[in-house]
Amino acid sequence: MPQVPLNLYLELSAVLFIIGVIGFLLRRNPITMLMAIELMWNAGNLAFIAFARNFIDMSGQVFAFLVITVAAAEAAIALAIVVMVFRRRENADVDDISVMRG
Amino acid sequence: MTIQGVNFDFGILGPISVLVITGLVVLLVDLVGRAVPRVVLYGIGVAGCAGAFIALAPLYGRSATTVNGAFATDRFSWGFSAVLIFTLAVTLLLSSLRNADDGNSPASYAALLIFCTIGGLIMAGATTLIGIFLGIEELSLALYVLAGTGYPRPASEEAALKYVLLGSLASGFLIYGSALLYGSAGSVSLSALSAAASSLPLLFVIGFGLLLVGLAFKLALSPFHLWTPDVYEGSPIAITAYMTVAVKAATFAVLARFVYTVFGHDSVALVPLWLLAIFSMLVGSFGALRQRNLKRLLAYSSIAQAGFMVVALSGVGEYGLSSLLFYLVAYALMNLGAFAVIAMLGDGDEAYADIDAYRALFYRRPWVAVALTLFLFSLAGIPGTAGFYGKVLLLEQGFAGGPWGIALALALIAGSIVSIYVYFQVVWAMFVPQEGEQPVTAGNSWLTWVPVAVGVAGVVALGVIPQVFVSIVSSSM
Repeated sequence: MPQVPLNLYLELSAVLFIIGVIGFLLRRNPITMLMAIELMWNAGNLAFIAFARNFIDMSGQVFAFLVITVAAAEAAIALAIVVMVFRRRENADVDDISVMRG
Repeated sequence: MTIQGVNFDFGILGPISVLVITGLVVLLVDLVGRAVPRVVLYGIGVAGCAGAFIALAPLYGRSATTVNGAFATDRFSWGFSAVLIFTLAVTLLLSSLRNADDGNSPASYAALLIFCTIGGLIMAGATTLIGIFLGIEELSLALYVLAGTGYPRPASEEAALKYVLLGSLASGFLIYGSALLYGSAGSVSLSALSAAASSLPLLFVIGFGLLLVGLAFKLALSPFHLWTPDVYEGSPIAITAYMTVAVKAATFAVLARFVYTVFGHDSVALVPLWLLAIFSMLVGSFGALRQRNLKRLLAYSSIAQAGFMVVALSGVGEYGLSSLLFYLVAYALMNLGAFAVIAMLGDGDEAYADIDAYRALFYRRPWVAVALTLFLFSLAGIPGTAGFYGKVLLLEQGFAGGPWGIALALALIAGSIVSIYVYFQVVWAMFVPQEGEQPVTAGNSWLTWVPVAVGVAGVVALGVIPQVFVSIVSSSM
């Protein structure tokens, strides 16, 4: 089976990363924004693993595992905060919850 | 000690180990005891800080690595670690005030603060991209929760939501940047990256740019500062004080290590960092002009202060790091002091962040007003205070550092002039007598007098006999 070249992996990860950034900037629902962030983090993971395979080096894979672990913790905290905000206003659109100005 | 081929030197890891144990003890005491008063829990935390200092003291001036070279104690880590532990102690004292927001769960609040600081210590000592990421995330994840402990105050909820969304976005940039840097060097250690930094391949440039965006978000460098005023205003006072000092101290430790280890000389790739700094100094100083809330005003001022501190790196020279550290110590003293005064006036109540509460303060609480005046003068850089000598050291670095250094130094002067006006507005309000009803201020609590007194003593000492401290700082390297 022919090997997929490194460049294709990197291009895919760059596309995923850019989709994540655009999604974050365009969407106003915090849950969707978190999904966009998750996409960015995983784009990084893909790049790490592609490089690790290319260099035959373990540290890139370790980094990817660490990112996955931290992403789980981060999602738990972020969703808890979103729930906290939702409970009082039934709407957590980031433009509507703003009380501070200046 | 070696476990599974990884060597651990618990001398070097001492401060971290002490804090880990302290955090666990706080949680255990709360679990075993019934309704433990929060002063006891925070007291254990402060005792842990003292222990961490004792563990940190023998590392002074030492340079060594552990965990197979992934964690170091050296000129980049010692001073920054000391500032982090000091900030933790002050924050715990401020959190023990009667009206302070700690989410009615003092044990988890104190433990989160302690774990946060451990993240900062990891950042200060990490010599690989993995360690830097781990430290930043440990610091940030705990702070996302702490920003929301003012629940159900709406501003605190909003602060937590904004912080978690934008903080995770910043981490996304950081991860992708680290991935590309890893790809350019084939290794996650910073010393391996310096080979790539000398030839500047495309992968390295993009990776460094993304990493810089991530760090600039955490440091609140403009134009990545948009979350800062809201998060700083909405979070409980003690947490805001912690964020303005500890996050900056830890991130500057990473940035300094990165700039000195990877580049080691003034490089074209650092120009974006200089631009961010110039932008921050101007945006922070001018943004503070129209603020009516002292927390928000100090948030803008901290954006400018972060820009000032970057000037120390501009020459990548011999004394740059000690200038940065001196300014950071001065900034920690004056900023924590100012926040301690805000917390003290309302006994932890948020309402006392409004500038109107400070009108004619001198005639009600003369010593508090004098202390706050000293802190604001130091932040503005009035001669005789710590801030003044810190800025002199930074300017020295800037003017020695080529065209970009000179541009940075000029921006520093411009930003300082604007900020003098900002701080004088507050001082003016405190000293002009006012007729009619005065806002009531809380009684004196000796717990807040401790950070205020330490702040006053430090600001005066660093301002009057700076040479002593400069030599202490330089021989820690």
